Amino acid sequence: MRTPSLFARKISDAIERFIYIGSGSLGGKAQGLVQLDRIIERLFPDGMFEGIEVSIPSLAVIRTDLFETFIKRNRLEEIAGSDEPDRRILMAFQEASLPTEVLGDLLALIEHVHTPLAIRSSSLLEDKVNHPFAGIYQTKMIPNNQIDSDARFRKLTEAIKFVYASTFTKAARDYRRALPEKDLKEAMAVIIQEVVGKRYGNRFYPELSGVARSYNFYPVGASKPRDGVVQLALGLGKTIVDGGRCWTYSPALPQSPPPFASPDEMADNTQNSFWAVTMAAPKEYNPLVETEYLIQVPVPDAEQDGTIDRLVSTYNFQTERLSMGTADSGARILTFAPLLVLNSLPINDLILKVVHACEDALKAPVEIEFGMTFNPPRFACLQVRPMLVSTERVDIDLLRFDKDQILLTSGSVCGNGEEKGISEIVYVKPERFDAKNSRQIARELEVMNHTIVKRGGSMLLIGFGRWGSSDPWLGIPVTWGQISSARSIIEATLPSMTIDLSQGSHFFHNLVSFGISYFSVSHEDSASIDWQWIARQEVVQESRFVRHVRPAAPLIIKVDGRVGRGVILKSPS
Amino acid sequence: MLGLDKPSRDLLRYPLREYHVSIPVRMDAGDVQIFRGFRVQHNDARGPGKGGVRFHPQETVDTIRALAMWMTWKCAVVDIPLGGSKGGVICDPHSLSMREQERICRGWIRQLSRDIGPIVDVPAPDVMTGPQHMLWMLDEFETIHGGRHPGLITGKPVGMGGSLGRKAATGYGVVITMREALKDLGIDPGKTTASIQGFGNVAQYAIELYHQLGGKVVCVSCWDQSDQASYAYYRESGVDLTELQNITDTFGGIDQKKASSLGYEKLPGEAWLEQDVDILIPAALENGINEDNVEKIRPGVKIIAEGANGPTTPGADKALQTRGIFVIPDFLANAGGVTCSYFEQVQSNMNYYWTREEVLAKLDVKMTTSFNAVGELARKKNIPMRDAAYVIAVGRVAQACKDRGWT
Repeated sequence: MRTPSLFARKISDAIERFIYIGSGSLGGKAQGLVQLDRIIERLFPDGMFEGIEVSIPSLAVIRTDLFETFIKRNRLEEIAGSDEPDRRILMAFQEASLPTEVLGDLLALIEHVHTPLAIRSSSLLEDKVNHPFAGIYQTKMIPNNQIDSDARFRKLTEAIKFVYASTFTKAARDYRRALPEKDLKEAMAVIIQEVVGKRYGNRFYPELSGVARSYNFYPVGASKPRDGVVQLALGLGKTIVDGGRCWTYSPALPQSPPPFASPDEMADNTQNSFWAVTMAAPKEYNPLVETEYLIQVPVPDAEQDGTIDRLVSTYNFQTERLSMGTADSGARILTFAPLLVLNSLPINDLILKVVHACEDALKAPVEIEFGMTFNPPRFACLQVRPMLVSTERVDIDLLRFDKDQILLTSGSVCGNGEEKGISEIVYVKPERFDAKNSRQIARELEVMNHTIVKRGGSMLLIGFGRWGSSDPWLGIPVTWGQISSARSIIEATLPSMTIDLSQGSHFFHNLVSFGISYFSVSHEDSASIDWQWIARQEVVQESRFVRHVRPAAPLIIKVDGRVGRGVILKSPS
Repeated sequence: MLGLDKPSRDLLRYPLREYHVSIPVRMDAGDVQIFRGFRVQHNDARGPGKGGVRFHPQETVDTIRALAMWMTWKCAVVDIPLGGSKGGVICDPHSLSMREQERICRGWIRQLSRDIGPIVDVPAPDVMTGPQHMLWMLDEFETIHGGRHPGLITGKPVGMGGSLGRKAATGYGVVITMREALKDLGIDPGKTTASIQGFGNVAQYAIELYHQLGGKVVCVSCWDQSDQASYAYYRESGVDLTELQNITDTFGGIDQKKASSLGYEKLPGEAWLEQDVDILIPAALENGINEDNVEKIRPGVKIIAEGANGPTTPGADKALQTRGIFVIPDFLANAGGVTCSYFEQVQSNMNYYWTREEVLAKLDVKMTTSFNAVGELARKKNIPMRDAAYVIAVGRVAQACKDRGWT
């Protein structure tokens, strides 16, 4: 069984091992990787599954004591706790110096490593409380391909400081304030991890990324919640984590026909671009953004890289036939059929094996993230988290409620249980909504959320399109921290905004862990949202696109997770 | 052990070149005095000479010869591409005005400007010379040669061609080697205590980094200018660096009364050596550990990191060896200074300056790598660290001479 060992500046340390620098905690994510490493070693003693190498990518962890020292020595406590804009905080952290005692180790490490690296957060609270902090703290990928080790060292230190600073962005602080546990001390460990993938010209990416969950809150067709769910994408996993278009299927039924009415619809709704690390000079030097070294590439470009043979089906417009693979000419659609239907590599079996082993070890439903290359076949596990699944039984009989009492109902709800006491409603004004303003709407929401968080309140949040979408035309591009006081979230459609709803997938982990309900409501439903009632409530604050109102009595939210049905009631019956 | 042939031994025994110069200086009173100056270039087979310029009334060329040779070994043991030099002027800066010192600096350069330079021989501060002296020398050199040549000299102020981290480098280097020694001995630095001789620049930065590693310094000694005596200050709970710096004069002397009020126990100067600690760091005088006091070192001491030059006499060294105390030899332990000087010269030659993080990271890697190479040889050959360091250093220089076809 492997255990992390202290970095001793041997060449093998830098490229092969699970090592750490400093003392203090490894943080939640790194602890999870320790567990995952042990599970995989037990499961695949020779590191192989039917010709596929299975491992976790080599990594070094800078433990939390060095974060605390960094803050203290650079006297960053004041700005870290201030309400300064994120940019100022990020800049102050960039200008500070990393502790002397870690510098030699970092330089020695980077001198031996020349592959792209992911600099990931691994926070203390992730370990101490059962909240995922998904999307709250930042990860920075760096190409690490400069010939000069000094240049690589500089980029590494910039990335570490960026991750450190992400502990104190407004979104992160609001997220922590919204936690039920109070006065929690946060500290950040940093994971320096090899990015799984291969280089193709000036791009570096895995041929396949995925997220597998052993419990599915949205089973469709013949699949059951316990069958779990898998999402696959070409390129870096950012596509999935950010809620972009990806392929979702039940691992119990990997060969089920795709849930699209026609190949045209499939082409419109499957992944059409992917994320990669750029190995060329970035567009601009900007150590303050997560995507400094990331590029979004159209899927057809991957065909030139030779990376889509196992991932696509080809649609021939003349014959209107969809064939697996790339033998025919036509439009390539990312269906992953060669893997899932033709079983060209037994990845579904492998995913199931790993997920079940993790479930057994963690004694809870789990989510894993993975990346994969095909030549040679390598399946790299990147993360494991336990999922919190509510087991409370709620029966909803709509006939029992007075029609006037219902604020809204939905047959597509994520979550389970009953929630009382939500006394604030924040909503995007339907009459002012336009997708072109969605970034501004996100900013206005952040301000209102901040006010509610400061007062210790919680809100029902109503908006249009996919919450948290990275594409502002598909929905409102908020991060979780910007809406962290939400206890229930409604994503609705409008006649002008009729895209497929996300059903909460962007914020999946936060929803599950905080027990937050997520309602998808179509404007075409017979019992849609009672906008007139909302408009009559007392206005607390209002901005151009968003209004915050307070009903006379707290709302009641009921969700039956077994059937995905939910109702929000205006006042106690 | 090295199996050097006779030509190599003869070449390395003596300096390659010596310059003896007379420097006429018009004094503030209007009279002219002639000062004697030197520059000794012991060996430049591995790169341009490197070594300080000392201002001292009792300076002799013999001392400078010895120190120039020592610089050769010091640069070689940390594997930086520089040779060994040293220079000096017989003078007493205490009795000279700054203007007179400036004229001596400029005069020294005028006499030697053809024989030193960024690719020939690179001076640095030493006893009673500092950044200001280096700037005067640089300015004179540039006046003579035209253009700007910041790589001529090191120890310049930051912003005028100096390197960030230079001030901390020697003290940090001592602790970096000590940290590696602790790793080899399987001891957690956070569970160790130390006693330090001296409270000058080297000692203060050594304490800073040692504290950052979690260690506890319980005793420091210093020279008291008014009493003309040295004292040690002990506090069981550990010394507070900032607190002591606030009550220290410009000579590194700690205010006795204030120290006492802060809970420090004043002891005779030599008491620093007698503390029951894990680590001793002599960072002040030559011969501080000698045959007369070596027996006073407590049985619990595991490591001596020589921050000062020549702090242990050969007799004491033997006694320490017999007792199994791990000694990190001076020209390895305190080579952080010359290593950072080398970094300064590299930056000056490029006219591009690194961040403090980069400088200290490189220093750490350089010192660690050097320590590991010496330690590995010491284990392999079963010889003391000092001998192993000499074997590596002399071997490298001798090989360079051979490769050049000199021997």
